[in-house]
Amino acid sequence: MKLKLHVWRQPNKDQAGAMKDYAVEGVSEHMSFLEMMDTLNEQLMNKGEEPVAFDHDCREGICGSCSMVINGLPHGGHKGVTVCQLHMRHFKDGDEIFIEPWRAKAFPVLKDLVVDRAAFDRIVASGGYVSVATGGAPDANALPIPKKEADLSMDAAACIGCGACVAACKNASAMLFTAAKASHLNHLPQGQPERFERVKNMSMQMDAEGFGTCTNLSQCEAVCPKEISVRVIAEFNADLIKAQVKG
Amino acid sequence: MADAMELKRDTAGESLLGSLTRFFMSAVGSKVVMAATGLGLFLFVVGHLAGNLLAYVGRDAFNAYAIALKSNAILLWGARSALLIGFPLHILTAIRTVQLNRAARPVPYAFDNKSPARTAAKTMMLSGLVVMFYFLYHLAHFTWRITGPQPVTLLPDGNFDAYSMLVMGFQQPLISLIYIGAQVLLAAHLSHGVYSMFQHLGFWGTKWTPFLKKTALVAGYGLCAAFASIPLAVLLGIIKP
Ligand code: FES
Repeated sequence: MKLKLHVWRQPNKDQAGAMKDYAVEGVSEHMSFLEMMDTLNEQLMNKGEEPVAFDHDCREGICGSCSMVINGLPHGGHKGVTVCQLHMRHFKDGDEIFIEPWRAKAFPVLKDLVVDRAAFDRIVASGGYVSVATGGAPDANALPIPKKEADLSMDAAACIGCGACVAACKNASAMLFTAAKASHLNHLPQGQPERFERVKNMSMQMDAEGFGTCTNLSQCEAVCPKEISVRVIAEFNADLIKAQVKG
Repeated sequence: MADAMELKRDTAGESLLGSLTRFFMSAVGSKVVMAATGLGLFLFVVGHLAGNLLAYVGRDAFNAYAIALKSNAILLWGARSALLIGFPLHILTAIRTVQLNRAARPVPYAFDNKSPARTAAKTMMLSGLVVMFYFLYHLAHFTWRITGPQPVTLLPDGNFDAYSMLVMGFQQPLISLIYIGAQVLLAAHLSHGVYSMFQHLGFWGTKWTPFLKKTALVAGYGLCAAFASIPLAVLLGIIKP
């Protein structure tokens, strides 16, 4: 099939960008969205033009590198799917597609569709870990954890840190990411000793990075490729309130 | 080694006031302020409605309520503090967080953000703004009595005839229309706010949250219908002068 693309092109962090139109040919419905982008880039290189820069790594939905807003929806808006797993069968010949980077002050565009997500790393570095020596792998079930708690922790741990939550949010808030990174620890015994310091530090770092504030629109939950629930946000808030009371 | 890795206590040694101020200025803390003041204002609205509905009982019941509200210090100051503390904090925090949110996305999307969300939830600032202006007009009419038709005679016992003021006001279709319009926007505001405040305050449950979302819709639009019924009843002659 043939597609009409509108792609954000920006040479680097300091220069302004703009949407540019491209026609891409020979796209098969069996391709993934990223393979379609590869096809576009081949065609661009054959013409001697600069290929479109975009992030990708695993191409199987687990690394969180790929990041494109497609027709106003991060990762294209299909339930539980990253761009790399988005198939071209969802599009038809002649479709017009708008492709943009994540848009947030805290995620500056480095080039074209590639944004700098180091703000997420700094949030994790501020408290998204446990500082106990974990040693070697313990025997299974040596540390009893109720199934319900383990499940809540695992659901939050599914976060691949792609940043679609920020991209989707009307307010460019990073609450879903930050809260998920706290929740997966806060549901385990190892996370308890530093539970309140963790949420305090992470919340401060989140603010310092210049993300917006949550208005409970749940747009993050709707687009999250790992379908993480805004439950984690309520937990994060509850822990911060408790942290305040406990001093 | 464990020492070097220990989660550093960034906030250790802070005074209580210092840490509270920092908290309430933070992204999450400001939402706690929004939620707490929102809850106070919501309770005020519920109480206000309960009083208004006495108009259906009759002149004496409604006037007795109006007098009780003025003479009972607990009721009066309860209501006043919900407004005097709640309103400014709610509005100032809204302005601040909207500024933060706008600054958080300096370059807009070329293609409209299509991530799904309820329109009422996305337009809280707009509905809030309209309700605020309406609130000031409403005070001018019914509390300060500097606008709208006002009864000229006092009640036989010398008290102000609030019932007549209500009926005379709502007999004017324009005043009723503005009133009902403001109620619809208040309903939209509450249909998100009543759910949102619980989420901000950290309440979440697999059954509880969907229930709250429905409650917010019912509470918002139900209150609106109950409030709006009064001017309609006056216009239709059900509530008589
Ligand atoms: S490339 Fe790894 S998640 Fe898409």
